[in-house]
Amino acid sequence: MKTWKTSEPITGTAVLPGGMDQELSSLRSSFQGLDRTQLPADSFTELTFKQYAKHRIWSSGLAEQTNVTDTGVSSLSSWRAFTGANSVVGWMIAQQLTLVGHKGGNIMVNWSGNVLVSQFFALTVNSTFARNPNHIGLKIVVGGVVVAERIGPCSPHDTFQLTGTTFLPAGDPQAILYWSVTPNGPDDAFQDVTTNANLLRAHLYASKFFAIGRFR
Amino acid sequence: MSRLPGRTPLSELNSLSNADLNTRFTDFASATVAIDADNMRDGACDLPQYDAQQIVRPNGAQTVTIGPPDWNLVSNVVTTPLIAAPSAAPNYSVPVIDPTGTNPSIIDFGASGFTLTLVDLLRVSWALKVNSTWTGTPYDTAGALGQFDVVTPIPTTITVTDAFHGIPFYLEWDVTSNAKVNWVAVPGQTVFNDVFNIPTRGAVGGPIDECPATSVQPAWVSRGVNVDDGRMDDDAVYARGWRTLRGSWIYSPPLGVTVYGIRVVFKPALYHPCNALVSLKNCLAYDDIAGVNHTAYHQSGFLTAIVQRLG
Repeated sequence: MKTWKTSEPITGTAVLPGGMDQELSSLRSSFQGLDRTQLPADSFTELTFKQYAKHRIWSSGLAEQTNVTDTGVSSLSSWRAFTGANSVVGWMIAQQLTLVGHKGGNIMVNWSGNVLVSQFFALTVNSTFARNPNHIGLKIVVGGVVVAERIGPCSPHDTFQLTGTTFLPAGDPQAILYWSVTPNGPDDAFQDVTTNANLLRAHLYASKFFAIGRFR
Repeated sequence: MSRLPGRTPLSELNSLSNADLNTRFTDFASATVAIDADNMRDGACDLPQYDAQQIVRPNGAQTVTIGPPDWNLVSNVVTTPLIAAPSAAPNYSVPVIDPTGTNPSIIDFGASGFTLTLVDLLRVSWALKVNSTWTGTPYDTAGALGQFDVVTPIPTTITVTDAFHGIPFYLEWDVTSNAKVNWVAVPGQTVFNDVFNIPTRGAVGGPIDECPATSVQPAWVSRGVNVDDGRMDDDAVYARGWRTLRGSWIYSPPLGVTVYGIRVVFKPALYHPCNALVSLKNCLAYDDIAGVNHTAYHQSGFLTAIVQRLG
């Protein structure tokens, strides 16, 4: 008995408040009379532990963004996607999902995918300030809190991976994946002057998301 | 008080003995029912009490280096010329080789393979140094994809290129046997070999909504020269130079499947965005005009696979 308890019975001595606390703490442990640190190592395996008790992984995919699917593009040489003529300024929601059954604790989010963003008008005569490449902006918001944000790729073809972590209370938080495109510059051309086809500006596709919630 | 079903809970004034406690240890260590909130609070356990392989499955994590390692980029795998007609050989793909420069570099799950179950998530990621060079100006040849017309200051109309060409890399796996000769694209992944009918010319390619395991190496990049209020002098096409191409894929199997190997391959040809193919889907279409005289290089990188339990 001495081996297993953090306190032991003592006879003939006045009970001290501290001793009682110790005894009660021990009794509130995982099972009667045992402190949780005294449980055997490797007691629980994936075969005996109920699913999602300790952690949970959510995953989701998005074939391609649908925020802007401009049909006025060249059918031969372009995707039906984000164009300068139909551009949207600011954050667009690429994908969202509810992390059902989050029991509270740490959560790690990971978003990866492919983008195309044109650099054709990245350096023009009248864009005299901050001649930055046109880039994709990326942001992950979970439960209303920005978990990760970055300036994304700036290349005709590229991939990205965005990872973040935070602590959340119990509940079913929403994970929202945002993307944005650098706004049009002052000199950008939007169309083929012969065919009037809108010029492809950006696209996001092959999007993959997963989150790992660790509940303790 | 936490307890497992079938065991009478301790009551007030009950005495505890070593035997009682040992019995309870045995209860938990050999539990035949799920340990859950009814018999054990999550917070009542400490990390040492969990099997360390709870999240990552035993033997479910592997990393291999791929491509010849050479930090100064001298020893490369050179693929030249890129093939002229990818439709000639169905599913023709080139595997990224191992650091010795001779064999395909693969994740090898051994003779028994690794069996993914419905509660697993397979995560694969990779990176590879890549480069592209070419001769001439094939992107300016009449009929090359990606061309559009702009107005010069004179004004007259000239044709320029968006240079959105790229070389697609994707993942293959072998789920047939340990022989590792039955490589197929991973589920949902196109092999960029669908035959389409682009107006005025045939073409092959793949829809980008079938590209979950694809990464595209940009062939080049272009920009307008002296662009002023939509008018410009010309375009200028530049090499992207050596860069690191990264890829990732996640897969939650709808059915159990045994995986013997995973590898990175690429399609040795230039593809360009297009939507003139099946059902106006966005696709990557092979460009037989711009894709000539092009040389692709790749070098060192890594390939990682992790199998995680969903919960």
